[in-house]
Amino acid sequence: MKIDSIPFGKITLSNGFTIYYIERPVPDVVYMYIFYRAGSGYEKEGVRGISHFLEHLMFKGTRNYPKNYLETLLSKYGGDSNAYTSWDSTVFYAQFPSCVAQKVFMYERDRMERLSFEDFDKELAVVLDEKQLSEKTNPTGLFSERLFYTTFLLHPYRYPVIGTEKDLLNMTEEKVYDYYNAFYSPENAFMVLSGNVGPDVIDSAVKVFQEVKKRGTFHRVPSCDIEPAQNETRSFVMKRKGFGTNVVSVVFKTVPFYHKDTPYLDVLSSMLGASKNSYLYEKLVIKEGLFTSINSEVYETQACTLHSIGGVVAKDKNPKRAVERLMKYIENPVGLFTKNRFKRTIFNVYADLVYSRESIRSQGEMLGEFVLLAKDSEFNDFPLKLLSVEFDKLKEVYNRYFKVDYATYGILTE
Amino acid sequence: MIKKRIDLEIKKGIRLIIVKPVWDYPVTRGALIFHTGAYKDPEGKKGLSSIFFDLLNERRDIIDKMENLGARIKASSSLTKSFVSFAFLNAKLKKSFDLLIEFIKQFDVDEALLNIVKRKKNSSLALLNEDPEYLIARKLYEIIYPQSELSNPVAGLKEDIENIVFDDIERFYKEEFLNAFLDIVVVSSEHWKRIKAFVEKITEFFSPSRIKMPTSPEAYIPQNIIIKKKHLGNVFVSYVVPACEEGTSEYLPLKLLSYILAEGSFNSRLVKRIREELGLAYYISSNTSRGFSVHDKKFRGYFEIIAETGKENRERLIHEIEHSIKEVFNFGITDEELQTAKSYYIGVERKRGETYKDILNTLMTERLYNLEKNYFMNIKDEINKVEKESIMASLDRMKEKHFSRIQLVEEEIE
Repeated sequence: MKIDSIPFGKITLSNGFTIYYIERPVPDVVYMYIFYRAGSGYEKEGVRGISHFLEHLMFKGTRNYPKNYLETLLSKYGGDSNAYTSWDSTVFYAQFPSCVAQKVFMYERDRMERLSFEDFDKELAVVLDEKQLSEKTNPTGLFSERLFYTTFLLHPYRYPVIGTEKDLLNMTEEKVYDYYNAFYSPENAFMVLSGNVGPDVIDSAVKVFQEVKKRGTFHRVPSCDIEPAQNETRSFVMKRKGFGTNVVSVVFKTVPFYHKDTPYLDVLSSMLGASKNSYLYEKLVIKEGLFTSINSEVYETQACTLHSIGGVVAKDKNPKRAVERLMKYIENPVGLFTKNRFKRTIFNVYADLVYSRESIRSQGEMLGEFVLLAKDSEFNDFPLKLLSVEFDKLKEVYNRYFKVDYATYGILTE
Repeated sequence: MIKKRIDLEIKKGIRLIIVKPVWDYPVTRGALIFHTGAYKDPEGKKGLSSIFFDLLNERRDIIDKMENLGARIKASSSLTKSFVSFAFLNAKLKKSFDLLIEFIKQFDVDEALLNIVKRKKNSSLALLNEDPEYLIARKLYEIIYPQSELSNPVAGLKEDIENIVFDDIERFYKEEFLNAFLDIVVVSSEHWKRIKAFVEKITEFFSPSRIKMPTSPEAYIPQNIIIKKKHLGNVFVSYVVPACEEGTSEYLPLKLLSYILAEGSFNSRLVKRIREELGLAYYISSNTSRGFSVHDKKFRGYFEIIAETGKENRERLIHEIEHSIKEVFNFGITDEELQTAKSYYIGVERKRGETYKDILNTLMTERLYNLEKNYFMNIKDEINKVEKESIMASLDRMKEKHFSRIQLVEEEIE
């Protein structure tokens, strides 16, 4: 199996801001991702939710531009822009034709250092509304929050990205301004451009962003070593009236994304539950009929990745019994480690890579994720590491991390 | 984005389009489009076509072979068309096309597999019936397509799923699946003759026969409906009116009007007024459906404005939307609004075809809605040609028909 490297360029400016780029001239679209190392994983007691709230304020104008400027501008060119906040980053992304690149960069520069903090109270009310609404109408979202809250005891990943009500109600302009100054400094951010990014676009980005001044004293996401050792299975049951089905999920804390075991864990996760041919699907959907679907998700992070395995319980089956059987199969994975399953999984990992790298937009986004979670060279090295996973070492890695005695599980039921 | 396009008729009206993009990538993507779907579901067995296509995806021997080839084959159904779409690695092209033949030819499903799929369907329907947008869409289809099979629910009805037995599935395979007229589209950098040879082998199994047309919808009667649902939280309001089909001269003016009203985010009237100025909606947008086509006959689409707000704002939201609609009916649109809407859609077309998948989707849309050959290649010119008068004519037609209003509210609200 051969996977071609994707060439990319990199320019680090004197202020520490780095611009990555992957060029493909047609069609005439530029995909831009600006990653700030600012997310809920960096937040301390008293400011939980500040990264996400600041993301909202970033749409409310700067000293030189009115609110919604970028969306209004790009819409005229069939482009668009948006943002998201996660545990590890706040990301602003957009797509537009190359002819407006300079205008977009100038606006982003302004956002980086001249935010106006307009509509502070109004936007805080919007975020509080969003939180209350999500708690009422998004039971699966709330279930995930509870799962993380139970999995972590001390680490900031314990808290939802949107923050806690208490901290949001006590949010002040001063706190947000300090956080903005620290974390939105250019050396704490980087940009990935992909698509029609010829020399003109790159030059323009360099000229615009090199004018931004360093100003931050930011810190990194704490290591998961601050967590006390988990010596028991933790669990909870969440009941929601009107939720028409039962969902269960088991979570294992593993290692930071850059750890050498990550490729092994990714392959193991796929073998366990990523497809209709996976081990747990065979056992729990086909053989026992306890579940109607199985999912295996990996939350890759800077501090410690979470592997979540779960599914939707069949209508007439007891969710408690379902989770017991799920844990039993994870504890005694008889039939998981076959060479055939391993070969199939590796080949599919390879196929997924080929299919996903077709899109220049995805290439840009993936490069950004690698820079954030590990280092830029992993963008091309990690696929090779995945394809080099050795069958003989799988069991050892599995036994190290997939221990049900140290897992956390949750049940969401009516 | 397209270097070469070949349009062929293979046998008995089966149409094949093969496209070679301007850049090479080592994958082949394609789709078989079947002229069948939920509109043919018999009374008491709503969901039959959906269950049939889901069953095709559950065959373990096929999944096993797919994973060994890194191939992706997926069957899915919609209202008037259904699909088997595929993505293959060029390095395994012959074996992958052989597998596609097996996917179609080897109908080795049994009662046990049917029961698994029915269990899954019950779970997914339970979740769908909690989804506000789904509940509104169900009602909308009943209003726009009265007394027609076009209002059939694609996902099926919970009470009908148990009535679907193995004989129904076998009958569907023989009478529907193998007899539905086909369109086949393939995007590949491989030589078109090689692709044609593979596709010809697939078509040996099909015997297209006469297509059953859905009953034409009865006359539209505007309605004012309130749907009540427990544990909803917010209020959803939808305004809907029958409209034209894509490809007709009325369609693009209506699409531009939709942008001006609410689809164009911060450039649209309702978003600016109702969301931004008055803060009356969490979300407000509009859309113009493409309608449906069955073989060479087209069925009307609809125009919809939809908004979500808190309970306390329901009356004011309704007042403001109706006021805004009246305003545009009475005073029309401005030249600037029209120009902005045109620029947007022309810009959107610019990025069409970023990946093989995008090109495939464009070709599929062309066939799904029975649009002229290269419809999307010429659409920029057609958008530019739209004049204010044709938009005013669209407005007049909507005015004559009157909007229906659907409200989804929490159960305790009277």
